[in-house]
Amino acid sequence: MKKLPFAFLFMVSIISCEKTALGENEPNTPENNFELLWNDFDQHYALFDVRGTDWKTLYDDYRPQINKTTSDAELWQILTDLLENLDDSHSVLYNADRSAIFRSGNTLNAQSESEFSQEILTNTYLENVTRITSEVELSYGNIKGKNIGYIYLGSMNGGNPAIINTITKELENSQALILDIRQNMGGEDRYGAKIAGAFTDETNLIYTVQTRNGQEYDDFDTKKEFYTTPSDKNTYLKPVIVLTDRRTISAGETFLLHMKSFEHVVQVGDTTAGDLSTVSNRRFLPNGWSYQYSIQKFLLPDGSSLDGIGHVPDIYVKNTASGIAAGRDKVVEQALDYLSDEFGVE
Amino acid sequence: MCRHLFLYVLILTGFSSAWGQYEDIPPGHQNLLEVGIGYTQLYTKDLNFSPLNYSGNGFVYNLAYERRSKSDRHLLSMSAAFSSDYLQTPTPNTIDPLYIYADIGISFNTQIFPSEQRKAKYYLGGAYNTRAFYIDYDDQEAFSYTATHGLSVLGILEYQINVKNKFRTSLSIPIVQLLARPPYNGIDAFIIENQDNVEQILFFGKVASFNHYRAVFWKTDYRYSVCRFLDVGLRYHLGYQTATEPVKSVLWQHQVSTFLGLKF
Repeated sequence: MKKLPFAFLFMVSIISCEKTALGENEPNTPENNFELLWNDFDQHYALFDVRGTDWKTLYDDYRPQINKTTSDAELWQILTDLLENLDDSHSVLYNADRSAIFRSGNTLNAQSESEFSQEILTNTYLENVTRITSEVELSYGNIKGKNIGYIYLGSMNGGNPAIINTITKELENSQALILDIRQNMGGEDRYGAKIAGAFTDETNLIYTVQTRNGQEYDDFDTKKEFYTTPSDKNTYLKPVIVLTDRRTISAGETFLLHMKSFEHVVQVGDTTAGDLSTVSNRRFLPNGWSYQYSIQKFLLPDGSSLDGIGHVPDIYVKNTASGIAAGRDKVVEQALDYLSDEFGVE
Repeated sequence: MCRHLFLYVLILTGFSSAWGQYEDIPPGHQNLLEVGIGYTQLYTKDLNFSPLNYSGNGFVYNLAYERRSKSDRHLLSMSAAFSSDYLQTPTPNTIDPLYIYADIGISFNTQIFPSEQRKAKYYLGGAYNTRAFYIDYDDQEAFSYTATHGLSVLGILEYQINVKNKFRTSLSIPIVQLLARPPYNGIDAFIIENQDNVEQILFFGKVASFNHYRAVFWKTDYRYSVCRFLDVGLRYHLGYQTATEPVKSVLWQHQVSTFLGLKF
């Protein structure tokens, strides 16, 4: 019994060390940081087949560029070049303090920021604008001098999608509605689904989702089906023009999947980003960098995918930076012309 | 950190001089309500969350109730423990992930080899525990969890050193659990759909035994009877658990805590 405390001391000392408990930590070398990132994508990224990316060939192309003398700046350039091949803005690399963030395939998305101005919209085209402060980037009003309602939905991160019923009630006497989702970088798909329910009286199969769940590129779980569910309150079934640009992304695009299944909805603007998947948890590297990637594939009822393609508009029109600088929003103007020509809405 | 343990163990072993003295065994209490606070050191690696090793320390809070049968042959116990703080890894990072650990259990034990002449008592029985270990980086930018709900074999040794001093050690080995772990890719449609319903997620799992979940929990108490109604004590608790679904996770914890016990 007297030897027990010493045996106890010995055992505790042994098991209290991190290395004994967990094994060696991952080495912080340029090679290992590359290997961890490449392997993680290889085993978890969901869209190699959908996007036609030969990830293994990319390893052969980029891995030889790295050795133990590779600097942080060089490693950053190599990893961002690697990820750019995916052309997927859900593939993101962050440095340690997040002062640098790289998004794959983001060139056109970023360019569209200069092709949109809420100030011009509000001052030139809209009246009676009400901002819904409880939600994220949601406002509504009327087109100046016309019986056309306008809703700006800039995010799918709001908390109360039922507010759309209040808005459509306010706009129920309008002859048509412009629903603007330009610069909507997404959020929660279920938020968008609830919003879309205010614009239909039917239940339709919209898309299926599968999550990658194994090491093979075609390992996915069972398809989960997503339907549009009509709102049990008022629904708006008059002409709706949805405005889009390159920065309509992710949940903004799944929202558009719902909307474009309705006969009274027309899409005007630029092609959307083509990045519908769900983003992974943040993943970590030994050098403090972190990253994310797409883990699900969203398929239309016919089995096709819009990832890498985006929603092609029914009517293509694109603002330019110079046009915006001159105070004109050609996308809104095109939508108004369409409503006038097709429906006689003045 | 290894060196800090020496201080804890020194306190515990400092009482070893009291061992070996024999005095009359006092009559036992039937009910015991304990409240305690301590300090935990933990090491974890969860490949679902990160390939890196993490360590952390923080306060742990304990609450327990024990009831003995009049013959002292049976023990019924209920306990709860909670700890939450931040984890660190030796890599440069601006945000440390948060951890939350909770353990709620109930056990029933029966004395084996009963003898009134013996100062040592042996109990054997079973326990049900719900345990959850949750890691959260930057408000769910990344997260992982290991939750188990199931049965363990529990063995207890009590040694009444003298009238005032008592030693107790217990070993619990989980046998079969409902093991809840994140899916292969950390998130799937089920997680997204139930993100506001934590209970649904923590109780959605697979039945697992030693093939996918192995753990051992060892507690050692030293207890001093201050008076007829009050005990004070010191406890060391070691917990080890590892899961292999969908990928490997390991959690080592050791805690040193003090407690007050109200006897009635």
